[in-house]
Amino acid sequence: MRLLRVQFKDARHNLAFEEAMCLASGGPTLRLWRNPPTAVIGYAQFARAEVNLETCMQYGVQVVRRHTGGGAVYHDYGNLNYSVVVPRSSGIVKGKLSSVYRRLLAPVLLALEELGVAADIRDTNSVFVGGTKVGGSSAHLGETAFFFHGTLLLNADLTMLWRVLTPLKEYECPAGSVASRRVPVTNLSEVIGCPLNVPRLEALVVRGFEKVLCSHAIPTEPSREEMELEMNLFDTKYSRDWWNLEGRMGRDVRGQM
Amino acid sequence: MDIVMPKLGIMLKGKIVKWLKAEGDYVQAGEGLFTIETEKVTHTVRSPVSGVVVRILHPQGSVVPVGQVVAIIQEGEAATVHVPADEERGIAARTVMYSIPLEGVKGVTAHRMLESSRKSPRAAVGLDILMDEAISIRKRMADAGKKISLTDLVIWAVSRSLEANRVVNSVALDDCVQVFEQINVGFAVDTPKGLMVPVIPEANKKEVTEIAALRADLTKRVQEFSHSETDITGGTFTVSNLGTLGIDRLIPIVNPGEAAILGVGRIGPRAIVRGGAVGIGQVMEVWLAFDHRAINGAEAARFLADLKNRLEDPKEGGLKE
Repeated sequence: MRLLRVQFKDARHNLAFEEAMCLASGGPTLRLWRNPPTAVIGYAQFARAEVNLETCMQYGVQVVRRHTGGGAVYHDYGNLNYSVVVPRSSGIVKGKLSSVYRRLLAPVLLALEELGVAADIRDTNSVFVGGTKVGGSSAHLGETAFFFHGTLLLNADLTMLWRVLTPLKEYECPAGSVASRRVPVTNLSEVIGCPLNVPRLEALVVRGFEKVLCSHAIPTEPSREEMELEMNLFDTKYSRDWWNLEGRMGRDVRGQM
Repeated sequence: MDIVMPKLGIMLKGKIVKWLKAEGDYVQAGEGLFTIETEKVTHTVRSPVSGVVVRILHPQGSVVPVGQVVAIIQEGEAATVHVPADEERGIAARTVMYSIPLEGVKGVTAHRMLESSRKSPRAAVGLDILMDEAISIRKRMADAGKKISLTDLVIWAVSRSLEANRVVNSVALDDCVQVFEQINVGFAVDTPKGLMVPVIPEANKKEVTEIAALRADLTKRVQEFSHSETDITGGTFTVSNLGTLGIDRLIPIVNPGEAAILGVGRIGPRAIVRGGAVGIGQVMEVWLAFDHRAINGAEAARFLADLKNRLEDPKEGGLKE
């Protein structure tokens, strides 16, 4: 398994790289990365109904659509993001989707356990500590690969999180789009009650995935194919408002997605 | 071919979150057709065949059980696939007769035009039509109890000229010009609720008296706002006549989904030169505004010349009184 630490300063590049990983033929891969302050919305979401765009503009928070499903999340450098690509033929992605999520979230739970935090999975794919959410995840089934990614709140700016993820009342979620579920969230540093040893958590997450995927993680640079795909996806999609904000639907789509 | 909701893992149903193609669109084998989301997993379902999406059975946002048909694709090449008309709903069929690939000079022109104006590049050509003969025919027909208006005569002539100049009956898309098989002529009507464009389906197959009857009926319906959706759907070309309001000439904006529109001005006496002498003739000025991606100046000019000939000598142009 390859271990990538690719990280851009622009969230749109980071999310474009996620899709590039999924399209490229890089084989089993684990990526650990962080985003600058960003509202990341799900594939089928209506941006205005999920995010307060005015606040985002005011505070310089980017709004980027991801290619996986689910609801809106807030990222900043106080989050740890992990992404995994496995072949569709892999046994780990067989069977019920809830079981697939359970298997792929197990490394995260294991890592938290090592830190003395008892976490569990709720709502299929969210990581909870007690009754409070500390992380979410979502996935995309590609032609040849299963792509899974998630985030953990370590010491993110929760005030900004709620500011950004509280849309203006007048924007309702239109029929057909996916609405976010709003649940209480907290940072892992709050749960532990002391500053988090982030490098240790990262190492534990890597070890967790190594165990679950039965494969040693080898630090690698992204492939040329991945970088080219990323550039192309950024130019044609992730740098564009039609993708991030409108997520154009219906007649005028003309196969652009 | 039936396209069914596929099975991801052991899911029982999936939500269609995006249709990447619309009805009438051409899809190539392997190209994305729709995206489903289930338990936060997205997946793009690709078309197993090349063809035209003739029916989408479940709209965006529907949750559909695995194995259920979600769309029907008529297999075939882009240019030859025939989309059947929706006869049940009575919408005037508007199907592609043939496609002209935007390649070579046409492709270059298309891209340049698009670049220069960012949207559809418009141009217009206009000419004067001597209406003396048309006016006398109209009088003769009225005397025989067949009441038609000059607008009916214009629509009649337009439909025949479109038949002779097919490319004007089209729409420019991103990568091709679709030329329609049916000639469905819309005509702009000023109604209390605003501008409406009811459609005379297959006007080229109707005699002028039929056009007159249909136009009167449609006008009444849109004026009263008692029309149905089908009355205003499926147009392939539009006629806008402001002559009745005393306008000499107008260059209208092309209706979206069409490539051209005819602006008809008022008929009035003008000094004209006939056989070296100046005389008086009843003249009508018409302008064809067109999307330059679909129609070139010469094509527009040929269409207008054909229209002029037909209206100046309707009998020669095929009019049955």
